[in-house]
Amino acid sequence: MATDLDIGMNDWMVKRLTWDDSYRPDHGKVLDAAALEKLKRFSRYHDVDGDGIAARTLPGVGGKGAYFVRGSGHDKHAAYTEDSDAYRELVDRLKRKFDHAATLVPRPAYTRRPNADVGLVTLGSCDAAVREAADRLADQEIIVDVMRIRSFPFADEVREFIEAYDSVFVIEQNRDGQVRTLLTAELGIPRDAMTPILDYGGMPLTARVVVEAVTGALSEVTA
Amino acid sequence: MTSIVKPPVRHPSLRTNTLGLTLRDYEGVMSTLCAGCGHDSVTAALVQAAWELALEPHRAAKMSGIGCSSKTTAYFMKQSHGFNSVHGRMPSVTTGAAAANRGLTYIGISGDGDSLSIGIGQLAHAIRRNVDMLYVIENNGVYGLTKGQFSASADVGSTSKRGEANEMSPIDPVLLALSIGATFVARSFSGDKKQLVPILKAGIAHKGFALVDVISPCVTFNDHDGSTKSYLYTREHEVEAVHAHYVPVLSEISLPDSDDAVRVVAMHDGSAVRLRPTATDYDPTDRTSAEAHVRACQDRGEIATGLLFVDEKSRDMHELLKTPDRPLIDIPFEQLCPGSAALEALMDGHR
Amino acid sequence: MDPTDVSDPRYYHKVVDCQWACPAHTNVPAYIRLIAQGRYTESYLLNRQSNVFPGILGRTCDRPCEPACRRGRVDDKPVAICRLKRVAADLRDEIRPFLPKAPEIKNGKRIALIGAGPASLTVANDLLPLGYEVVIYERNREPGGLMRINIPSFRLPASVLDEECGYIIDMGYGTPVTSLTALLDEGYDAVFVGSGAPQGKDLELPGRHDAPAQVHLGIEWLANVHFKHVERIEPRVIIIGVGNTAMDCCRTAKRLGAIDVKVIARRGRKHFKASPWELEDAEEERVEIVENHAPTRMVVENGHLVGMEFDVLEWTESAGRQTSRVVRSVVIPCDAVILAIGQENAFPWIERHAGVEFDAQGMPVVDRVTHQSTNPRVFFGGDAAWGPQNIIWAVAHGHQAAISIDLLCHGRPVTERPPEGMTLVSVKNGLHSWAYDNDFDPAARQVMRHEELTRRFRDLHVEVELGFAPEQVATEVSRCLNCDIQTHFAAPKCIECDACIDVCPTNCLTITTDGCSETEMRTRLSAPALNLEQEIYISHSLPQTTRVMVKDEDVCLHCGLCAERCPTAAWDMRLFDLLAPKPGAACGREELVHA
Repeated sequence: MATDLDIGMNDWMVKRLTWDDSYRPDHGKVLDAAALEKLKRFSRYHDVDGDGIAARTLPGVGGKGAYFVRGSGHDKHAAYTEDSDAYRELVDRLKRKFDHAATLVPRPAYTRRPNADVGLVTLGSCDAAVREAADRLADQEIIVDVMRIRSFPFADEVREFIEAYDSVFVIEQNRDGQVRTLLTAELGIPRDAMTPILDYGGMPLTARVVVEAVTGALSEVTA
Repeated sequence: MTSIVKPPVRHPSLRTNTLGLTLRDYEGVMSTLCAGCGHDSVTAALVQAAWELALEPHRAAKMSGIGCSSKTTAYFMKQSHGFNSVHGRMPSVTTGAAAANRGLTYIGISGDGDSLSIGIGQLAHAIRRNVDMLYVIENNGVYGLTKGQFSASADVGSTSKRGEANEMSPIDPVLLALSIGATFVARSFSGDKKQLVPILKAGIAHKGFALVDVISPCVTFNDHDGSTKSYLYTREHEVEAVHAHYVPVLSEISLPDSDDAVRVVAMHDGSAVRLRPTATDYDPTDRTSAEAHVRACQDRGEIATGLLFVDEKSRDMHELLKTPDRPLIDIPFEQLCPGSAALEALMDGHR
Repeated sequence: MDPTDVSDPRYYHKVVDCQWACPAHTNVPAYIRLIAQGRYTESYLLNRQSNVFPGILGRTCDRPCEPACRRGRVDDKPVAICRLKRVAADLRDEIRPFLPKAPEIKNGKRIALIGAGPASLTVANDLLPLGYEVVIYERNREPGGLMRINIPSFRLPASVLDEECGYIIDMGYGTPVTSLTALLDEGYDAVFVGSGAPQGKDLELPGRHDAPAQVHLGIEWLANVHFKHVERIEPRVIIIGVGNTAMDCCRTAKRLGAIDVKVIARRGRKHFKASPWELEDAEEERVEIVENHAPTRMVVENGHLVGMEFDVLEWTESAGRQTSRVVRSVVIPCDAVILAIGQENAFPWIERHAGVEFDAQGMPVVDRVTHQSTNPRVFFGGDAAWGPQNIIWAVAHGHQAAISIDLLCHGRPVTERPPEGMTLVSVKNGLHSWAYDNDFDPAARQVMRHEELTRRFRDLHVEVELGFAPEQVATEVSRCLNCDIQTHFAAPKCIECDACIDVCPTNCLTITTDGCSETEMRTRLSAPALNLEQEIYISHSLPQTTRVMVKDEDVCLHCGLCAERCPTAAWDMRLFDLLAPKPGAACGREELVHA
């Protein structure tokens, strides 16, 4: 409550913002009127080049560019269908699109120290506390690497990082270990190969929670 | 649900509009609604209206939420854009689309469940913002997709198919819209295309939010004796308060009307609507009068229909928000993005 | 307007355009559906009920059904009805077990049929199973009449004729008739004259008789070819006339050695009597068709025909009348001329005192409905009645004459015609399921496969048309709109939801207020009903608003969508079956079923 009020009622200092005037947005595959004219039929969800991403149009551009965005089963032309093959084709394309997206999304941020044998995996606002914990663990001569996952679907480096350590901890702020579940489901990493560190008391994560959990777990193993 | 595709054959005497398109070019795919559903007639009226207005199909966007009514956006203008959004969220999605591209014609189709239950907040705020769109409520008083429970528009005393009566007070979308500042309010009946088609055309021509409540009977769950939204009940209790006649070009109304009661409302796009009240002392350009009339009809057990209220001088969302006069896609990036200098000035302003 | 009376079989019959146009009222949609189901034998038998000669007509019919076919109004070209009939004939199994048999015990009535052409054979076909003793008099050795001796075998193989005539005739004959009175004296209860129009019309021109060996009359020449009296013709041949006989002559000439064959017509192409497909077939065989040439003289030198002289005409039309002007005159060299300008009746064997009256043109006076002549025991049909027509007409005449003869023999007035009846049965199987394929197939009309040009000229008897290939059959049958599956409306059930009107692909339906003339009603509809040959249906008044449902029959696709979208089954799809009157039934059939 106090935090909410702090954010809502007080002015906050931020670093000066910058803007790159050379930036131009990349709209991806968008067909303009001339490109549409060359097509016999525009098919909103037809993957022509295998990357799973079908070209789109902007509303009102080109007579052939219109399509219907619907929640019900549809085919690659965005037309309603109850045909299993047509539907499967579409869902398979989404799988390709998802796999392709994993190669384009932001890479994880991580450290690789030569003598580390513990990996800490975390994400989002846990990051600062986990990095602080890493420094404190080093003081106790426990050398750890930290990876902050920055995107989903997971890039290949996420798996490579987790598989590189004997001990891996996944630090997240919920009761159920949702990130660990995702890592198991998406990458096939055995659940027990990752030790959860869960913090869900409602307050921001602190380094102490991480340090205690890691040292506790490691002493259990050596004992 | 129908088993075959509608044959592509046309009647040899079928005419074309100014774009060279026939009525059939404005059709969509085959309806999967129940046979005899009022919604299919509303769809046919929309096809007729769009054809008569010669709307360019790809310059129109059909918006809907969830429900039987919301399926109908697939059944007309198959060459137009369409967006089947989340339940009750069509007004917001359309608000966003209209904000980004003010050049398109927006046709929103909703139902009494989508608009008056889950989406009532969305509807109210789209009305307040005066989003430039046609908003059709296909109103049948029941939830047809979930076996016919009463919706929020069911009248007190109206019975379900199994016989139990509704006891909760109905929400009348017409009165709701009038009370929160709607600038175009009409009610019609799916079984009366002569009345409905001109209203739809005027609603599309209207600059701002045009609400058309269409009594559209549910043949499967609400067309029985105790229903107040059946074909027969609506025919027997409908009283047309104002007859609207849509005139494509205002200048074609050359002479003052010999009928004193007729009011000509000039629409923003150069067309006009001739309004002929059937009740004396009724002024379809006066919100208070309209509201009183609709309420009085309701008290007598009548259903007031027609183009009940229109205010063509109102300002729509873009005018209220002073947005650019062009769709965003027509504005170059250099103009859309103010750049680092503007950011610097903004930050300096907060020092 | 008065509500349409659909209990009158004529209303729904007229909706089935092909069946209505067919003189014999062949149930076309039903036999096409049977072909679609691979039930060729049943399809053949259904055909045979009305037209008696499906194999023959499937090759030679003038096809009055096809210009009438609704498909032609919605999709450019009609269904290839005629050639589908041939499919049924070609692919049928043995049908003899299914044919009616003449009973052992006769009914004591004797009928003489003169001529063994299609009209007489139809009479025999209808009367034999009823126990009549039927004797056919025919001058040629084999039955068939003009079908045999005038239609070339490259169009109609003899085997097809033998089979279909053979179904009727299994008796010896061969007696030419020389006297009608003698025949009547033999104690026949009735005589049917189906002797055709056996005489070719001549053309009296200067030089006509100066080289007789080189000038022929069309049908006689074709008969001579049939009997092998003629086996060659000169290289350059001129055919005068442009009817179907002319087409048979020119194509036969090509097969007997002619190299340069010209068909000469007095007028322009749109006035030609020949069926368009016969013209096409002739032109495919490199026959030249010359328009606007009027013959004036045969050029004979030293008793030898060397050419023919023509006036070249220019036609102008004003106020519906055609007038011609001679532009110049030309001589077209030739070695033979075939005159194919028409046929005439000839009854040298009917004595003036036989009680049969003739009119000023030498034609017998015959009642149009009963086919009875002024001698109550003598009936006429086929070309013998009113001059040359097509085979299908002869068949239709035969059926009507058989009814008359049956009535006469039972002491009933021949004018007491048995009524047409109908059955009307719903074809609804379940939700969106009908007992017919209601999906519209946009396929184009299939093109008949022809024998290669080089092979067809090797032998006079090589059949030119090869019939449809199986995939063509599958496509062509799917083009039929099933017009006999009627849209049947029950006004009391209608709730005026407009679903049928909204879904109708061809804007056939309208709900409107009544109280106007048909002319005005036709303009008020969803799409104006401009084809006055097609009916508009008017319902009884509707329960909720007293308006009426109106249907323009013109381009209804019989897709059944009105019935599929009708919540109360006010619209239903019903199979219409015309119950055509038959002899036997005429004298004591129970009241025919009405819907």
